[in-house]
Amino acid sequence: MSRHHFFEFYTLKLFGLYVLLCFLILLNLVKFPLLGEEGGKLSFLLMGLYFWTIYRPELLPYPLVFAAGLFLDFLSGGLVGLNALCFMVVAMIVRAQIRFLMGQSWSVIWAGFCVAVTLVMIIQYMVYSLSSMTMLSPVPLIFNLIISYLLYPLILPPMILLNRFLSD
Amino acid sequence: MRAATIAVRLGRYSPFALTGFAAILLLSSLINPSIWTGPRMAMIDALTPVIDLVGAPFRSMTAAMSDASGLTKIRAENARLKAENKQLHEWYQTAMLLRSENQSLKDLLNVIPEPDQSYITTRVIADSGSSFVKTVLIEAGFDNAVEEGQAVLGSQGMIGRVVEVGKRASRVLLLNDINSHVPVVIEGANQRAVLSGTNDDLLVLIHLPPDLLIEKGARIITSGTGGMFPTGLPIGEVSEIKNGIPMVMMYSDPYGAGYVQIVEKPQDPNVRQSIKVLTSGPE
Repeated sequence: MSRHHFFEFYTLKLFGLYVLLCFLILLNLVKFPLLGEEGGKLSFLLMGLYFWTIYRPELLPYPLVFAAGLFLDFLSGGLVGLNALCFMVVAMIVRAQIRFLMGQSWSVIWAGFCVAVTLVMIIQYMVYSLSSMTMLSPVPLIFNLIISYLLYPLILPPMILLNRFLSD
Repeated sequence: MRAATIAVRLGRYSPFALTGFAAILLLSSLINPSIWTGPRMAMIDALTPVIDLVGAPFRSMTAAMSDASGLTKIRAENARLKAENKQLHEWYQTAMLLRSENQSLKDLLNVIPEPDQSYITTRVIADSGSSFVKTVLIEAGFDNAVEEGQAVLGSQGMIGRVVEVGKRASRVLLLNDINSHVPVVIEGANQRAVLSGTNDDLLVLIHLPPDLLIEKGARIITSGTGGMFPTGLPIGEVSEIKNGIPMVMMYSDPYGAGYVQIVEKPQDPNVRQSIKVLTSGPE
Protein backbone atom coordinates (compact mmCIF):
# COMPACT_ATOMS: atom_id res chain seq x y z
CA MET A 1 0.00 0.00 0.00
CA SER A 2 1.42 3.38 -0.97
CA ARG A 3 1.95 6.05 1.67
CA HIS A 4 -0.80 8.15 0.13
CA HIS A 5 -3.33 5.30 0.24
CA PHE A 6 -2.32 4.39 3.78
CA PHE A 7 -3.17 7.91 4.98
CA GLU A 8 -6.45 7.87 3.10
CA PHE A 9 -7.39 4.55 4.72
CA TYR A 10 -6.36 5.76 8.17
CA THR A 11 -8.38 8.98 7.74
CA LEU A 12 -11.37 6.86 6.78
CA LYS A 13 -10.97 4.79 9.95
CA LEU A 14 -10.71 7.94 12.07
CA PHE A 15 -13.83 9.22 10.38
CA GLY A 16 -15.53 6.00 11.57
CA LEU A 17 -14.55 6.79 15.17
CA TYR A 18 -15.94 10.32 15.01
CA VAL A 19 -19.14 9.13 13.34
CA LEU A 20 -19.52 6.64 16.21
CA LEU A 21 -19.12 9.48 18.73
CA CYS A 22 -21.79 11.54 16.92
CA PHE A 23 -24.05 8.48 16.92
CA LEU A 24 -23.52 8.08 20.68
CA ILE A 25 -24.50 11.75 21.19
CA LEU A 26 -27.72 11.20 19.24
CA LEU A 27 -28.42 7.96 21.13
CA ASN A 28 -28.55 10.07 24.30
CA LEU A 29 -31.72 11.66 22.90
CA VAL A 30 -33.47 8.38 22.16
CA LYS A 31 -36.08 6.92 24.45
CA PHE A 32 -35.42 3.22 24.96
CA PRO A 33 -38.42 0.92 25.33
CA LEU A 34 -36.92 -1.26 28.06
CA LEU A 35 -35.69 1.53 30.31
CA GLY A 36 -38.95 2.30 32.10
CA GLU A 37 -41.76 4.73 31.48
CA GLU A 38 -39.61 7.72 32.28
CA GLY A 39 -37.07 6.63 29.70
CA GLY A 40 -33.92 6.01 31.68
CA LYS A 41 -30.97 7.92 30.34
CA LEU A 42 -27.82 6.03 29.57
CA SER A 43 -24.63 8.02 29.33
CA PHE A 44 -23.73 6.68 25.89
CA LEU A 45 -21.43 9.55 25.07
CA LEU A 46 -19.62 9.23 28.37
CA MET A 47 -19.08 5.53 27.65
CA GLY A 48 -17.46 6.42 24.34
CA LEU A 49 -15.37 9.26 25.71
CA TYR A 50 -14.15 7.17 28.64
CA PHE A 51 -13.14 4.25 26.42
CA TRP A 52 -11.38 6.32 23.74
CA THR A 53 -9.64 8.52 26.31
CA ILE A 54 -8.01 5.37 27.74
CA TYR A 55 -7.17 3.58 24.49
CA ARG A 56 -6.82 6.38 21.93
CA PRO A 57 -6.11 9.60 23.83
CA GLU A 58 -4.31 11.03 20.79
CA LEU A 59 -7.54 10.80 18.78
CA LEU A 60 -9.58 12.48 21.46
CA PRO A 61 -7.89 15.76 22.39
CA TYR A 62 -9.44 17.94 25.09
CA PRO A 63 -11.05 20.41 22.64
CA LEU A 64 -12.91 17.50 21.06
CA VAL A 65 -14.14 16.26 24.46
CA PHE A 66 -15.29 19.80 25.24
CA ALA A 67 -17.01 20.14 21.84
CA ALA A 68 -18.79 16.78 22.26
CA GLY A 69 -20.08 17.83 25.70
CA LEU A 70 -21.24 21.18 24.39
CA PHE A 71 -22.92 19.51 21.43
CA LEU A 72 -24.86 17.26 23.81
CA ASP A 73 -25.75 20.27 25.98
CA PHE A 74 -27.25 22.08 23.00
CA LEU A 75 -29.24 19.04 21.89
CA SER A 76 -30.43 17.89 25.29
CA GLY A 77 -32.20 21.07 26.36
CA GLY A 78 -30.39 21.11 29.68
CA LEU A 79 -27.98 23.65 31.10
CA VAL A 80 -25.41 24.69 28.51
CA GLY A 81 -21.86 23.87 29.60
CA LEU A 82 -22.79 21.22 32.17
CA ASN A 83 -21.94 18.13 30.12
CA ALA A 84 -18.89 19.90 28.68
CA LEU A 85 -17.67 20.62 32.22
CA CYS A 86 -18.36 17.08 33.48
CA PHE A 87 -16.69 15.43 30.48
CA MET A 88 -13.63 17.67 30.81
CA VAL A 89 -13.29 16.70 34.48
CA VAL A 90 -13.61 12.99 33.62
CA ALA A 91 -11.15 13.29 30.71
CA MET A 92 -8.57 15.00 32.94
CA ILE A 93 -8.93 12.36 35.66
CA VAL A 94 -8.77 9.45 33.19
CA ARG A 95 -5.72 10.89 31.44
CA ALA A 96 -3.98 11.28 34.79
CA GLN A 97 -4.64 7.56 35.49
CA ILE A 98 -4.01 6.32 31.96
CA ARG A 99 -0.83 4.35 32.79
CA PHE A 100 -2.67 2.47 35.52
CA LEU A 101 -5.77 1.84 33.41
CA MET A 102 -3.98 0.69 30.23
CA GLY A 103 -2.77 -2.63 31.56
CA GLN A 104 -5.88 -3.53 33.51
CA SER A 105 -8.52 -6.17 32.84
CA TRP A 106 -11.89 -5.12 31.43
CA SER A 107 -13.52 -5.49 34.86
CA VAL A 108 -11.20 -2.81 36.28
CA ILE A 109 -11.97 -0.59 33.27
CA TRP A 110 -15.66 -1.21 33.95
CA ALA A 111 -15.19 -0.26 37.62
CA GLY A 112 -13.43 2.91 36.45
CA PHE A 113 -16.40 3.73 34.25
CA CYS A 114 -18.75 3.20 37.22
CA VAL A 115 -16.72 5.78 39.16
CA ALA A 116 -16.75 8.20 36.20
CA VAL A 117 -20.49 7.95 35.56
CA THR A 118 -21.24 8.29 39.29
CA LEU A 119 -19.12 11.45 39.43
CA VAL A 120 -20.85 12.95 36.37
CA MET A 121 -24.35 12.09 37.57
CA ILE A 122 -23.72 13.46 41.05
CA ILE A 123 -22.34 16.74 39.65
CA GLN A 124 -25.40 17.02 37.38
CA TYR A 125 -27.79 16.17 40.23
CA MET A 126 -26.24 18.85 42.42
CA VAL A 127 -26.24 21.52 39.70
CA TYR A 128 -29.87 20.85 38.73
CA SER A 129 -30.90 20.82 42.40
CA LEU A 130 -29.12 24.14 42.85
CA SER A 131 -30.68 25.66 39.73
CA SER A 132 -34.20 24.72 40.87
CA MET A 133 -33.47 25.58 44.54
CA THR A 134 -34.93 22.18 45.52
CA MET A 135 -33.41 18.85 46.39
CA LEU A 136 -34.50 16.75 43.44
CA SER A 137 -35.65 13.20 43.92
CA PRO A 138 -32.58 10.93 43.88
CA VAL A 139 -34.58 8.04 42.37
CA PRO A 140 -33.83 8.87 38.67
CA LEU A 141 -30.19 9.38 39.61
CA ILE A 142 -29.92 5.95 41.23
CA PHE A 143 -31.94 4.26 38.47
CA ASN A 144 -29.76 5.75 35.74
CA LEU A 145 -26.57 4.90 37.58
CA ILE A 146 -27.61 1.25 37.91
CA ILE A 147 -28.57 0.86 34.25
CA SER A 148 -25.41 2.66 33.14
CA TYR A 149 -23.28 0.30 35.28
CA LEU A 150 -25.07 -2.76 33.91
CA LEU A 151 -25.17 -1.80 30.25
CA TYR A 152 -21.56 -0.64 29.85
CA PRO A 153 -20.36 -4.20 29.07
CA LEU A 154 -22.92 -4.34 26.22
CA ILE A 155 -21.60 -1.15 24.64
CA LEU A 156 -17.98 -2.24 25.10
CA PRO A 157 -17.70 -4.94 22.33
CA PRO A 158 -18.39 -2.63 19.34
CA MET A 159 -15.88 -0.13 20.70
CA ILE A 160 -13.27 -2.86 21.22
CA LEU A 161 -13.87 -4.00 17.63
CA LEU A 162 -13.44 -0.48 16.32
CA ASN A 163 -10.27 -0.06 18.38
CA ARG A 164 -8.85 -3.27 16.88
CA PHE A 165 -9.83 -2.07 13.42
CA LEU A 166 -7.98 1.20 14.07
CA SER A 167 -4.91 -0.75 15.22
CA ASP A 168 -4.77 -2.87 12.03
CA MET B 1 10.60 29.83 19.04
CA ARG B 2 8.56 32.06 21.27
CA ALA B 3 5.33 31.11 19.46
CA ALA B 4 6.17 27.44 19.87
CA THR B 5 6.65 27.92 23.62
CA ILE B 6 3.29 29.67 23.87
CA ALA B 7 1.67 26.82 21.91
CA VAL B 8 3.20 24.24 24.26
CA ARG B 9 2.06 26.20 27.31
CA LEU B 10 -1.42 26.60 25.83
CA GLY B 11 -1.50 22.89 25.13
CA ARG B 12 -0.56 22.19 28.73
CA TYR B 13 -3.16 24.52 30.20
CA SER B 14 -5.87 23.95 27.57
CA PRO B 15 -7.85 21.43 29.67
CA PHE B 16 -8.06 23.92 32.53
CA ALA B 17 -8.91 26.75 30.14
CA LEU B 18 -11.65 24.65 28.51
CA THR B 19 -12.99 23.52 31.89
CA GLY B 20 -13.08 27.15 33.00
CA PHE B 21 -14.82 28.14 29.78
CA ALA B 22 -17.39 25.36 30.32
CA ALA B 23 -17.96 26.67 33.86
CA ILE B 24 -18.53 30.20 32.46
CA LEU B 25 -21.03 28.82 29.92
CA LEU B 26 -22.78 26.93 32.70
CA LEU B 27 -22.96 30.05 34.85
CA SER B 28 -24.41 32.06 31.96
CA SER B 29 -26.98 29.32 31.39
CA LEU B 30 -27.91 29.29 35.09
CA ILE B 31 -28.33 33.07 35.17
CA ASN B 32 -30.22 33.39 31.89
CA PRO B 33 -31.10 30.09 30.17
CA SER B 34 -32.85 31.86 27.28
CA ILE B 35 -29.62 33.33 25.87
CA TRP B 36 -28.80 29.93 24.40
CA THR B 37 -32.22 29.34 22.80
CA GLY B 38 -31.16 30.65 19.36
CA PRO B 39 -28.05 28.50 18.84
CA ARG B 40 -29.75 25.52 20.48
CA MET B 41 -32.74 25.58 18.15
CA ALA B 42 -30.58 26.30 15.10
CA MET B 43 -28.59 23.16 15.87
CA ILE B 44 -31.72 21.09 16.47
CA ASP B 45 -33.27 22.38 13.24
CA ALA B 46 -30.19 21.35 11.30
CA LEU B 47 -30.12 17.91 12.90
CA THR B 48 -33.87 17.16 12.99
CA PRO B 49 -33.74 14.64 10.10
CA VAL B 50 -30.76 12.82 11.65
CA ILE B 51 -32.35 12.74 15.13
CA ASP B 52 -35.53 11.41 13.54
CA LEU B 53 -33.59 8.76 11.63
CA VAL B 54 -31.59 7.55 14.65
CA GLY B 55 -34.73 7.36 16.81
CA ALA B 56 -36.88 5.57 14.19
CA PRO B 57 -35.80 1.96 14.94
CA PHE B 58 -36.30 2.52 18.67
CA ARG B 59 -39.75 4.02 18.13
CA SER B 60 -40.68 0.99 16.00
CA MET B 61 -39.33 -1.27 18.74
CA THR B 62 -41.44 0.54 21.35
CA ALA B 63 -44.53 0.23 19.13
CA ALA B 64 -43.87 -3.47 18.53
CA MET B 65 -43.41 -4.16 22.23
CA SER B 66 -46.55 -2.23 23.04
CA ASP B 67 -48.46 -4.26 20.41
CA ALA B 68 -47.09 -7.54 21.78
CA SER B 69 -47.99 -6.71 25.37
CA GLY B 70 -51.39 -5.49 24.15
CA LEU B 71 -52.13 -8.86 22.50
CA THR B 72 -51.71 -10.71 25.77
CA LYS B 73 -54.16 -8.41 27.51
CA ILE B 74 -56.69 -8.25 24.70
CA ARG B 75 -59.46 -10.33 26.37
CA ALA B 76 -59.40 -8.37 29.60
CA GLU B 77 -59.20 -5.13 27.61
CA ASN B 78 -62.22 -6.14 25.53
CA ALA B 79 -64.35 -6.84 28.60
CA ARG B 80 -63.28 -3.55 30.16
CA LEU B 81 -64.07 -1.60 26.98
CA LYS B 82 -67.54 -3.19 26.70
CA ALA B 83 -68.37 -2.14 30.26
CA GLU B 84 -66.94 1.31 29.64
CA ASN B 85 -68.89 1.68 26.40
CA LYS B 86 -72.14 0.87 28.20
CA GLN B 87 -71.36 3.47 30.83
CA LEU B 88 -70.41 6.03 28.18
CA HIS B 89 -73.77 5.59 26.40
CA GLU B 90 -75.50 6.59 29.63
CA TRP B 91 -73.10 9.51 30.07
CA TYR B 92 -73.73 10.59 26.46
CA GLN B 93 -77.43 11.08 27.14
CA THR B 94 -76.66 13.06 30.29
CA ALA B 95 -74.08 15.16 28.41
CA MET B 96 -76.53 15.99 25.62
CA LEU B 97 -79.10 17.14 28.18
CA LEU B 98 -76.54 19.25 30.02
CA ARG B 99 -75.26 20.71 26.75
CA SER B 100 -78.68 21.90 25.67
CA GLU B 101 -79.37 23.28 29.17
CA ASN B 102 -75.99 25.03 29.16
CA GLN B 103 -76.66 26.54 25.73
CA SER B 104 -80.09 27.83 26.82
CA LEU B 105 -78.58 29.45 29.92
CA LYS B 106 -75.77 31.01 27.87
CA ASP B 107 -78.33 32.40 25.42
CA LEU B 108 -80.35 33.84 28.30
CA LEU B 109 -77.27 35.51 29.82
CA ASN B 110 -75.94 36.65 26.43
CA VAL B 111 -72.52 35.11 27.13
CA ILE B 112 -69.80 36.00 24.61
CA PRO B 113 -68.85 32.72 22.95
CA GLU B 114 -65.29 31.50 23.35
CA PRO B 115 -63.43 31.16 20.08
CA ASP B 116 -62.93 27.65 18.72
CA GLN B 117 -59.47 26.25 19.35
CA SER B 118 -57.45 25.10 16.43
CA TYR B 119 -54.60 22.65 16.82
CA ILE B 120 -51.99 20.74 14.89
CA THR B 121 -50.87 17.17 15.44
CA THR B 122 -47.22 16.29 15.24
CA ARG B 123 -44.75 13.56 16.13
CA VAL B 124 -42.42 13.33 19.12
CA ILE B 125 -38.96 12.73 17.67
CA ALA B 126 -36.67 12.75 20.70
CA ASP B 127 -36.38 12.83 24.43
CA SER B 128 -34.26 15.14 26.52
CA GLY B 129 -30.69 13.96 26.87
CA SER B 130 -30.70 14.25 30.66
CA SER B 131 -32.44 12.53 33.56
CA PHE B 132 -32.98 15.87 35.28
CA VAL B 133 -34.66 17.69 32.38
CA LYS B 134 -38.15 16.61 31.38
CA THR B 135 -38.55 17.75 27.80
CA VAL B 136 -39.33 16.23 24.41
CA LEU B 137 -38.60 17.38 20.88
CA ILE B 138 -41.47 17.58 18.41
CA GLU B 139 -41.30 17.72 14.66
CA ALA B 140 -43.03 21.09 14.13
CA GLY B 141 -41.76 24.64 14.34
CA PHE B 142 -42.24 28.16 12.96
CA ASP B 143 -43.04 26.66 9.56
CA ASN B 144 -46.06 24.94 11.10
CA ALA B 145 -47.17 28.04 13.05
CA VAL B 146 -45.95 26.72 16.38
CA GLU B 147 -45.39 29.46 18.95
CA GLU B 148 -43.66 29.59 22.30
CA GLY B 149 -46.06 29.01 25.19
CA GLN B 150 -48.62 26.88 23.34
CA ALA B 151 -50.19 24.02 25.28
CA VAL B 152 -49.31 20.49 24.18
CA LEU B 153 -51.80 17.65 24.60
CA GLY B 154 -51.31 13.91 24.71
CA SER B 155 -54.12 11.43 24.05
CA GLN B 156 -55.94 12.11 27.35
CA GLY B 157 -54.90 15.57 28.41
CA MET B 158 -52.29 18.29 28.59
CA ILE B 159 -48.69 17.09 28.93
CA GLY B 160 -46.64 20.26 28.58
CA ARG B 161 -45.98 23.53 26.81
CA VAL B 162 -43.75 24.70 23.98
CA VAL B 163 -40.67 26.46 25.37
CA GLU B 164 -38.33 26.72 22.39
CA VAL B 165 -39.33 26.99 18.76
CA GLY B 166 -37.11 26.38 15.77
CA LYS B 167 -37.93 26.38 12.08
CA ARG B 168 -38.76 22.67 11.85
CA ALA B 169 -38.67 21.45 15.45
CA SER B 170 -39.68 22.66 18.90
CA ARG B 171 -38.95 21.71 22.46
CA VAL B 172 -41.79 20.92 24.87
CA LEU B 173 -41.32 21.35 28.61
CA LEU B 174 -43.30 18.53 30.23
CA LEU B 175 -45.63 19.30 33.12
CA ASN B 176 -43.63 17.07 35.46
CA ASP B 177 -40.43 19.09 34.99
CA ILE B 178 -39.42 20.94 38.15
CA ASN B 179 -39.55 24.25 36.23
CA SER B 180 -43.12 23.77 35.00
CA HIS B 181 -45.84 25.86 36.68
CA VAL B 182 -49.35 25.97 35.23
CA PRO B 183 -52.38 27.89 36.54
CA VAL B 184 -55.20 25.40 37.13
CA VAL B 185 -58.67 25.02 38.61
CA ILE B 186 -59.67 22.18 40.92
CA GLU B 187 -63.09 21.07 39.73
CA GLY B 188 -65.64 20.54 42.45
CA ALA B 189 -63.83 22.82 44.91
CA ASN B 190 -63.75 25.45 42.14
CA GLN B 191 -60.45 26.66 43.55
CA ARG B 192 -57.63 28.18 41.53
CA ALA B 193 -54.10 26.90 42.17
CA VAL B 194 -50.76 26.40 40.48
CA LEU B 195 -49.71 22.93 39.34
CA SER B 196 -45.98 22.42 39.70
CA GLY B 197 -43.72 19.70 38.41
CA THR B 198 -41.55 17.67 40.75
CA ASN B 199 -39.35 15.81 38.22
CA ASP B 200 -41.35 12.78 39.35
CA ASP B 201 -44.54 11.05 38.20
CA LEU B 202 -46.80 13.01 40.53
CA LEU B 203 -47.29 16.77 40.28
CA VAL B 204 -48.01 19.05 43.20
CA LEU B 205 -50.72 21.69 43.72
CA ILE B 206 -49.40 24.87 45.32
CA HIS B 207 -50.76 28.27 46.36
CA LEU B 208 -53.87 26.78 47.97
CA PRO B 209 -55.70 28.23 50.98
CA PRO B 210 -54.76 26.24 54.11
CA ASP B 211 -58.30 25.31 55.09
CA LEU B 212 -59.31 23.94 51.69
CA LEU B 213 -60.54 20.36 51.59
CA ILE B 214 -59.67 18.51 48.43
CA GLU B 215 -60.85 15.00 47.77
CA LYS B 216 -59.03 12.28 45.94
CA GLY B 217 -60.20 12.04 42.35
CA ALA B 218 -60.84 15.79 41.94
CA ARG B 219 -60.23 16.77 38.31
CA ILE B 220 -57.58 19.35 37.51
CA ILE B 221 -58.06 21.52 34.43
CA THR B 222 -56.30 24.62 33.09
CA SER B 223 -57.76 27.85 34.46
CA GLY B 224 -56.70 30.02 31.55
CA THR B 225 -55.38 32.63 33.99
CA GLY B 226 -52.73 34.77 32.35
CA GLY B 227 -54.07 33.98 28.89
CA MET B 228 -51.32 31.48 28.12
CA PHE B 229 -53.50 28.39 27.80
CA PRO B 230 -57.16 27.90 26.88
CA THR B 231 -59.53 27.30 29.79
CA GLY B 232 -60.62 23.76 30.61
CA LEU B 233 -57.86 21.62 29.17
CA PRO B 234 -57.86 18.40 31.23
CA ILE B 235 -54.58 17.65 33.01
CA GLY B 236 -55.18 14.99 35.63
CA GLU B 237 -56.74 14.18 38.96
CA VAL B 238 -55.75 14.30 42.61
CA SER B 239 -54.39 10.85 43.36
CA GLU B 240 -53.20 11.29 46.94
CA ILE B 241 -52.77 13.85 49.70
CA LYS B 242 -49.19 13.77 50.99
CA ASN B 243 -48.59 15.69 54.23
CA GLY B 244 -51.59 17.86 53.42
CA ILE B 245 -50.34 18.60 49.90
CA PRO B 246 -52.50 17.32 47.02
CA MET B 247 -50.54 15.28 44.49
CA VAL B 248 -51.82 15.05 40.93
CA MET B 249 -51.51 12.16 38.51
CA MET B 250 -51.62 13.23 34.86
CA TYR B 251 -54.23 11.67 32.57
CA SER B 252 -51.75 11.36 29.73
CA ASP B 253 -48.41 9.67 30.15
CA PRO B 254 -45.99 12.34 28.91
CA TYR B 255 -43.43 9.74 27.85
CA GLY B 256 -45.87 7.44 26.12
CA ALA B 257 -47.04 10.03 23.61
CA GLY B 258 -45.85 9.22 20.09
CA TYR B 259 -47.99 12.00 18.65
CA VAL B 260 -49.08 15.20 20.35
CA GLN B 261 -51.48 18.05 19.65
CA ILE B 262 -50.36 21.65 19.89
CA VAL B 263 -53.22 23.93 20.83
CA GLU B 264 -53.38 27.47 19.50
CA LYS B 265 -52.99 30.18 22.14
CA PRO B 266 -56.36 31.55 23.27
CA GLN B 267 -57.48 34.91 21.97
CA ASP B 268 -59.40 37.12 24.30
CA PRO B 269 -63.06 36.87 23.18
CA ASN B 270 -63.74 40.34 24.58
CA VAL B 271 -61.02 41.83 22.41
CA ARG B 272 -62.42 40.05 19.36
CA GLN B 273 -65.88 41.29 20.17
CA SER B 274 -64.68 44.89 20.60
CA ILE B 275 -62.95 44.83 17.22
CA LYS B 276 -66.09 43.38 15.67
CA VAL B 277 -68.21 46.12 17.24
CA LEU B 278 -65.74 48.81 16.13
CA THR B 279 -65.62 47.61 12.55
CA SER B 280 -69.34 47.00 12.16
CA GLY B 281 -70.35 50.19 13.99
CA PRO B 282 -73.39 50.67 16.23
CA GLU B 283 -76.51 48.75 15.22
